Amino acid sequence: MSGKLYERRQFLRQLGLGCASVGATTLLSGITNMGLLNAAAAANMPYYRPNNDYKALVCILLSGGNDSYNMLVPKGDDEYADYANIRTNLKIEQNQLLELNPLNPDGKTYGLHPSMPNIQNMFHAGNLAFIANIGALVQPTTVSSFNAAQNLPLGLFSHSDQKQHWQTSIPTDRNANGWGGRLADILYTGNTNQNVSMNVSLNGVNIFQTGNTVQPYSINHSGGGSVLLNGATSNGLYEVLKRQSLDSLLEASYQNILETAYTNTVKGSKNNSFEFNAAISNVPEFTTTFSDDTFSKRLKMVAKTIAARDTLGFNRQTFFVQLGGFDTHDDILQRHSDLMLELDTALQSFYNVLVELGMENNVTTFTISDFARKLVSNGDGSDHAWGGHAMVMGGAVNGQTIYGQYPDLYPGHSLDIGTGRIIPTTSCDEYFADLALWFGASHSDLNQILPNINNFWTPVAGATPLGILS
Amino acid sequence: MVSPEFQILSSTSSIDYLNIMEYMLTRKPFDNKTLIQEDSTGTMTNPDDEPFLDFSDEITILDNDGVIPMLDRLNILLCRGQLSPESKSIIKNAIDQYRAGVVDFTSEDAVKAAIYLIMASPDYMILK
Repeated sequence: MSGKLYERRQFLRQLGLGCASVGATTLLSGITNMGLLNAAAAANMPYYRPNNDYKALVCILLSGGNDSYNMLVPKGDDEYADYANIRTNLKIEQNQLLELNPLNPDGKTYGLHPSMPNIQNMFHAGNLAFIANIGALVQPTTVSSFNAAQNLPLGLFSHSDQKQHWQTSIPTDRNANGWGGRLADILYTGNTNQNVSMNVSLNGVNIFQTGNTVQPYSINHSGGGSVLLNGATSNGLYEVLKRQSLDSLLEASYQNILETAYTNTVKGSKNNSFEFNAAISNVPEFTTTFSDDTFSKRLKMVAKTIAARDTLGFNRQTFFVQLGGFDTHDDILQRHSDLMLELDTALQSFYNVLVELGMENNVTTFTISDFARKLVSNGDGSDHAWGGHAMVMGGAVNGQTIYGQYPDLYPGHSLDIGTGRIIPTTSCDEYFADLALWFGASHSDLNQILPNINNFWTPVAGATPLGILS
Repeated sequence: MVSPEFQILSSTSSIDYLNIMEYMLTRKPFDNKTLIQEDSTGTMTNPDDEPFLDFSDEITILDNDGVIPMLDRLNILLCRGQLSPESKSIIKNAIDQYRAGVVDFTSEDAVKAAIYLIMASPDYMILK
């Protein structure tokens, strides 16, 4: 019980952060108040400033369980035969796969889903890599330790659990917060802006960005990102009085902790949204074009936020964007193809806009997903499995490479726990450690950010578990 | 998290809520769709006959007895009597200022403003 209370108190305390230094500047009316806000922020600037360069991590949750064995397919004749044999009616024809020639020393060729020509190009340009057969693990796992149920992630094959584990990287705890939040807990003081969270979400509150201190700041993909109170920029008497009255209600002190949490959230949102919107609205229109789908629009808003980094006062930010619809129990070939196309198009636009901003080396985009899907068909789709493939994109990526080990796909091999559910050979801890170290965490920080990393990798100065980024 | 509800209280949803409540109060929030013909399935909106929220009881109390009795009634209806004296005083003060300063501010506007502020207050938002 006491541990729970402590968490609540920490949460409440951090909610106060969002507005502590601007509490007095209540009647804001647009850009004219930016100076006031910046002055308040500057007075609050911490002494410690680890990096002056900008870096961002963009987490893309492919929600529902990406059928990643149809995204990255072995293309050599023998390996493809195993693939085709086990996938039966779910297979993609060998001659339709887009060829990938990774720099991996084994010299094997792979095929990419035919809806991903842009990903193919970015891979060969060295700006994109895959991590093969990765998943949530407590420790390295074999078929026999799986059968004995030794040290397994909680709720294997369950959406809610596995999606959560990918965001917390603590698969033994259903109450853990997110590794992106814990990463930000360590690095947030390096940002000038201490009013708006460095963890910006395009999909609302999420676990990944929730730390002990830092919470996600939620924005929309349209307009200036933040939602403004109706009439927020009006000087009409009604609106002025309305804002004054709301402020009085929100500034009053309340005994109940839930009331305090509510007023802090609304107050912080109401005040910070001005600053955020003003900065986003000043970003010039991009020449890069984006598709009209919501996922593309969200990535465009991420790019606008990155473009406004100096105005907003950030040199470290994480972003969270979700693409849903991956739970393909039926009509899998068509639905998955549509999703691969949407992802391919949006990621190419996003990479292009980062090049336009000159930020392609400063922003690393990575995918996570609940799990891969069974290799064995259910007739029209495929059900929940475990290890799958992830994708990482950016100028800092040592690309054209498949990290980890691509598993054998014949039935009954040493990682197969039945119906084409494959035990991961790379832990998401290793993947995330690469990302966190690139982002600016130190090796000793990893114990706080990824407490299970020692089960897979012993920190060595100057090295990362997988070597994905440079 | 403090409680499960806080998982959906974000920087966007908290302001969206206030804006939607204001919209619902100040406009006629519902369409009246009527059949184009008796035997057809097609409908058309009928803007001349839209449902509206009826505040006539509250308006009568405000006009006859004043702001505090009107707030007392809303307190019972919306907050189960838990609107704090401080919040009530802030809202009364707001209504008085609206009525004194805003041009063409009707009793109905005053009732709607009172409901909006009550529904924005933590006394209403947190059930105790």
